[in-house]
Amino acid sequence: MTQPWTKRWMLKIMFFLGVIGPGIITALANNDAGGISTYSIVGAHFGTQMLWVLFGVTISLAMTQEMGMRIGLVTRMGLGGVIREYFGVRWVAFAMFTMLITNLGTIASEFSGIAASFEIFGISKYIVVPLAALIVWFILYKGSFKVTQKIFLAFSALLAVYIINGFVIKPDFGAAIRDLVTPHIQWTPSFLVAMIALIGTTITPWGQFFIQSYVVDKGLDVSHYKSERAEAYLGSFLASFVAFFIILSTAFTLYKHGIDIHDAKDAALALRPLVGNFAQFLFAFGLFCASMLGAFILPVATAYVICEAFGWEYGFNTTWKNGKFFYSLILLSIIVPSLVVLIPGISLIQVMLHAQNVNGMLLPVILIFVMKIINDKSIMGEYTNKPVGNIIAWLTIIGIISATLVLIVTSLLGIS
Amino acid sequence: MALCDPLTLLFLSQFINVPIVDSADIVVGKLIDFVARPEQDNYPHIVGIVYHDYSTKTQKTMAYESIENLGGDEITLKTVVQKVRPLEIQPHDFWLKRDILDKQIVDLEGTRVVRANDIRFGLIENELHVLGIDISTRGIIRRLGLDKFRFFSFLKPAFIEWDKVQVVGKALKLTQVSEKLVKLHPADLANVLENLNPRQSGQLIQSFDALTISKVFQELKPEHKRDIFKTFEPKQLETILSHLPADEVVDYLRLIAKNDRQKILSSLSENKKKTVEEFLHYADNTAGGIMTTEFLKVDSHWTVQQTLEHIREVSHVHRSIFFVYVVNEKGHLLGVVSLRTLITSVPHDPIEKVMKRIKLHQTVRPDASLQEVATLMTRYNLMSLAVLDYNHKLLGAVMVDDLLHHLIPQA
Repeated sequence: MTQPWTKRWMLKIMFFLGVIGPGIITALANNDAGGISTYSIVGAHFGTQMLWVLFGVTISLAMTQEMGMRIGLVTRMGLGGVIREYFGVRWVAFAMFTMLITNLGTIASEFSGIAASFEIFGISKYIVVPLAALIVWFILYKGSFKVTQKIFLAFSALLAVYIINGFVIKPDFGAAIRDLVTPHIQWTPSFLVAMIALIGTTITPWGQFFIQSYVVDKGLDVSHYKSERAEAYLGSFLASFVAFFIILSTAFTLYKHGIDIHDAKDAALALRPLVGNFAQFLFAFGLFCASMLGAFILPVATAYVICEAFGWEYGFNTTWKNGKFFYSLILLSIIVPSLVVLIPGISLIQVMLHAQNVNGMLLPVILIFVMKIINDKSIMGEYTNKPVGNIIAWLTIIGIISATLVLIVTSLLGIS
Repeated sequence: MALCDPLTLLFLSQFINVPIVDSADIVVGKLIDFVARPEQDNYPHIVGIVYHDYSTKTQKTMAYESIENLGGDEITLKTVVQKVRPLEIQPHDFWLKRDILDKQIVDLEGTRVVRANDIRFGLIENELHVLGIDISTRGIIRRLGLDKFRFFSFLKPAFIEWDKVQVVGKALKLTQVSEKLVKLHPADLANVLENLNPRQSGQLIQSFDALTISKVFQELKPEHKRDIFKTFEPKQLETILSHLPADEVVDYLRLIAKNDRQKILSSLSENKKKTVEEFLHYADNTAGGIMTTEFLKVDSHWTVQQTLEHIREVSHVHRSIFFVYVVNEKGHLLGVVSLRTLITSVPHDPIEKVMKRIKLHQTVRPDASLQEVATLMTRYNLMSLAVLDYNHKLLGAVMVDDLLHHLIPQA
């Protein structure tokens, strides 16, 4: 009996997606609505000046992802669970609150991404966002989370067109590489906001929770350490590789012609050299899939982590009565961000950028927990950090904190 | 020994970091933890405390008898600190904060995995015991110091009594696995294991006997089957596999790499190995893939009496027995007898006389699809469907519960 070719083809894709691991998935999921918009803005407003930040962030991302993965392999618990068991209720409440805020922001940016992708075709967000929220809830509640996740993951790989585009526009690679290793900085709020957002969209609080839960759910342990480490590094490189080309694409089109990004239409212009008038459609589709992916994963991931930490029952097989916190958290993290996006006159692009900014500012909180855990011999045994990892992680933490402080000071002084 | 007010509820969290004052009014240190000792058929007895000693800046223990009054503001001692006796810690003693507070525990009554938000004490015959565990959100509120806000009073406290708690993790090594846990329905037990984190579920299942493990194993979801089996040593694995019915061994083998299969196959008994190898040929989504050999078949010449005796002898190895298949000397399926028929028939009647004949169209071939199996079972109202080979020899039977597992895998 032969199966129809479509089914065989789907099976092959499923199989491929089934074997790729946490590192690569996190990398693909990293380029979500916030990622695409932040990288586009960074390139369009500041050209290649900020590439050095991306370079540094890639190294920190590789380090922090590897650490999260390692904690997962050794403790075989989610990050929330580890904080609860070793730091107690107060600290876990603090960490969960921080994560909830950043995740709500990120979900808002995903819904903004969905709204923005339809706005390109003139469809109002007042129709799109409630509909998307309903679909997300319906699929989570009734449908197959895993299959849906894989479908959107596959489609969001479309963003690889930026890599091809990056060659078509014939950028000045020499200048780009120079900027990759030469730090530039402007002491203005707009530069600092974009810089913190760039860090915050690449290394995310939820990404730390996600990779750790992922290795735990897959049933992996320290015997998989070497292969998982390689994958975490590869994933981080891939994530930044796409980001690099998004920045190049906007830097050598929009920045060159002095076009600022006010909405998704502007950002889509960067793809014109490759696909011409098709650019808007392609950008919209890629943005939509990437945003939907995040809009699916984040509410559930948030609810799982918080419920695990506080000992509430979770999972879609619990009843409403037993799982009231679980369902409430999911509904909260779908409804509140949707309402934010529906505020009349709010700039979708700004929501996406500033959510990443909040992510970046609060990231040190989560990273400090990670650092405390990974250097604790009673938790990690022989798998504690090497000095190099500590130095890079602390530099990242200090870098973000000082950038945040400078941002606050410059904003107060009214420098623009 | 006295307590500030015997009517108030006592919680572990109230005493953490409380200063300890000796009889000379000198602040000795602060409380870190309580040490509890398990007791047969009783709540664990609090035998001592762990405290941080200010003068030496070290962690010390103290026998509980040294304490005069346990208060939320200060803990007073009966003597001066120099006369205080350190606690002699015994192998099964556990520390409440270190080993239980904030950790996952199993609620045996609700058969679910929850967290120990607080630990409740109480006096039994004038001695302090661990009464139970607070798993409520109110417990979290109390520990966050938000208890004074009336707003949270809508959250009701919820305790699990100590004898309905199964601790996991480090504390598991110190205490025994509760008999109540092992007696749970295997499906509930599987659910508990799936909800614990992988390390703890591994430790917990390690503490079961092989029979319990094999029962639970059959109820686990495929991905958990694989993960949990990773926690066993090769020798243990052999024992467990010998307890599993052939179709479950096949399910397991399908989950692991082809190279590892041979090793496991060679560890099986000759008979089982043959069956398992045969089963491996059938695709997962066919009658052959999900059928079991775990059923009773008897020779058509047997009497009702003989059959009943046979059931008594072998019943302990079967999950359930509702019917007996009747075969002739060539192994061809003739019919089926229900337990009810067996019990109500004349003991010395031949089984062939009381059985219900099975027609060929009420059976399937091993390569039949699950759809086909379900259709036949629905049409003829069958709890099980016989699987025959091309010579009409009885190979196995598809049970309705196994079929449901495949049709509704997420349940």
